[in-house]
Amino acid sequence: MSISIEELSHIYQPGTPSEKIALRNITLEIKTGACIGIAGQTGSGKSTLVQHLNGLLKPTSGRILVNGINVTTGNLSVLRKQVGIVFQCPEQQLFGETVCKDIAFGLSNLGLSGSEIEIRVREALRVVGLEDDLLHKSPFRLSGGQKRRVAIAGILVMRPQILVLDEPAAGLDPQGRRDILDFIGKLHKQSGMTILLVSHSLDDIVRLAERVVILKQGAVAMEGKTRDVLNDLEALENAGMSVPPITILMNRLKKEIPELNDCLLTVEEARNELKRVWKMKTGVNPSC
Amino acid sequence: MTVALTNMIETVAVEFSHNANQHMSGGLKALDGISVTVAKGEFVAVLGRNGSGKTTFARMLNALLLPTGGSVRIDGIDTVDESRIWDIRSTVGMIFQDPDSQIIGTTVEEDVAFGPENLGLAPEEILSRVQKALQSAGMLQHSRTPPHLLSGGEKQKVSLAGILAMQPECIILDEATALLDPAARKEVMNLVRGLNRDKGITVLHITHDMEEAWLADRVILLDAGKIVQDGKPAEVFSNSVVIKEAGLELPQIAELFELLKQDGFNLLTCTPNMDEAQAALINCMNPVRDQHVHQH
Repeated sequence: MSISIEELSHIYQPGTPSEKIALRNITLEIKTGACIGIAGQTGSGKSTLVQHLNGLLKPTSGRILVNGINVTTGNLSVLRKQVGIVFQCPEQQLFGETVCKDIAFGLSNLGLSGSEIEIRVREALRVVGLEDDLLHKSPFRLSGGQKRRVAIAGILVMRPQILVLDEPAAGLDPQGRRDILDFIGKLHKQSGMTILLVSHSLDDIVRLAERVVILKQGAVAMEGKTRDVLNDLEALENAGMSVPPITILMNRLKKEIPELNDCLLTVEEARNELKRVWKMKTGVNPSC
Repeated sequence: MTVALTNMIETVAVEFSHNANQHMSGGLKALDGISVTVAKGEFVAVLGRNGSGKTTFARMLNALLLPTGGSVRIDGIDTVDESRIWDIRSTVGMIFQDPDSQIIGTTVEEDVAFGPENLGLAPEEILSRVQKALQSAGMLQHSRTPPHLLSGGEKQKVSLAGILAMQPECIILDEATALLDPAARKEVMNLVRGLNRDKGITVLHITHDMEEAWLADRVILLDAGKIVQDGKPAEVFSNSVVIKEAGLELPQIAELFELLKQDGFNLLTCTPNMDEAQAALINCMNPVRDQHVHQH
């Protein structure tokens, strides 16, 4: 069971003067339980791609199988229970009088009992790291980061097997960003859910995804282990990605200090590596 | 005789409570004693976590909100002076976060013309201002484009052109780059920096992006409605304890320097210049040139 995308192309408004090719011949295989990053500039096709995964958009050509369901011909209501998509700025979709009612909206359409709904709502709230006492507050009185977590809980409550998050941390302050990314990481580890993280921030992707796909003008420009992809600065820049400053700095240092390892992606990794090399050269810790 | 003023923004002990007139206010102040002066031509980054008062502060600066205590002067005009409110609003232009919620025209040029039209200017003047503004924002080729066909970054540039057409002396960006991709961010920032440098427009850039803030002339850090830091980026970001207490992060390279210093590396404060950072690290990683002594 997995997501299998075969030679997918999508053209908006085909045959009209405003025809636009959004995806070109994309082939990807995403294994169950993976956490994969999808990056690319605005207009590179990220959102178009993920909207195919629950049949919101249909391929112009090519084929997509999600857990064996063909998104073009299969049963969409079954498909949509398996694939939860959290759109960009999902807090704009909040509408319930209370946090509880908002999160429960999808469930109440499934015809579940009241007590089952309550159990699931509380569970989803816990997963996104919010306290029970928010349940009866209006979602509009919460902070930006809290609103976003409520919106994500409204998707998680449906217990999807595949979770797509489109720019989950965009526009939040550093703390809100950390909180969201932390619980996504935890969720992935604990639940084994397949997670697709769409972002133009490689910083966010580095923290969570073991593999990454970089799109450029609707085609796959790079694909592979996050570490390997991040090591090819030139290709990344060609794909219009902005490389985290720490990666650029360590890459430059490596040219002068050949003992340094390749591909240092986080500040912590860079720190430990510099310490290691110092000790190797001098036999003592830098504090000695 | 009037003397040319050198300060764009002058606030004295500004306070703001959202429900100042209600007995249930609970004493919570969104702004609590903000006194700050911004000179004409400065490029200032304003940082702070959600709820720290950044946006409330920004809204004080073109009289969208009035202080419930203290005073705000824009180019010498007190914002409580209702008769001068339009002078204030044509002095200070504001751009918001969401590219989709601040564009109203059916074409780009119509949208940019909205402000000058409301100033009651002559049609030729409006036309010339719109052209110039679109040119400065690099959007002239899109004059007749319906805004919904533009990307987020292009929409923000249209919003910027709409502000420029009002010929403001000060521009406030309220997280205006937060929803843009890195390339669009860079474009908008370069544009704003150019306006600051070439036309002397004062810029207040509210942002959560530490790397962007690092490149400003000055950083003001707000927390709980108070100013907790105000200074050059290198100074502010060398105080990692304060930055973290305020719920923020250091720029990556500044953080690396701070951590290495804790580990005992012989490093000075880091600057946003990548070449300098590189040179400093190479220098300190060279045990021969360093004063570290082998102690065995």
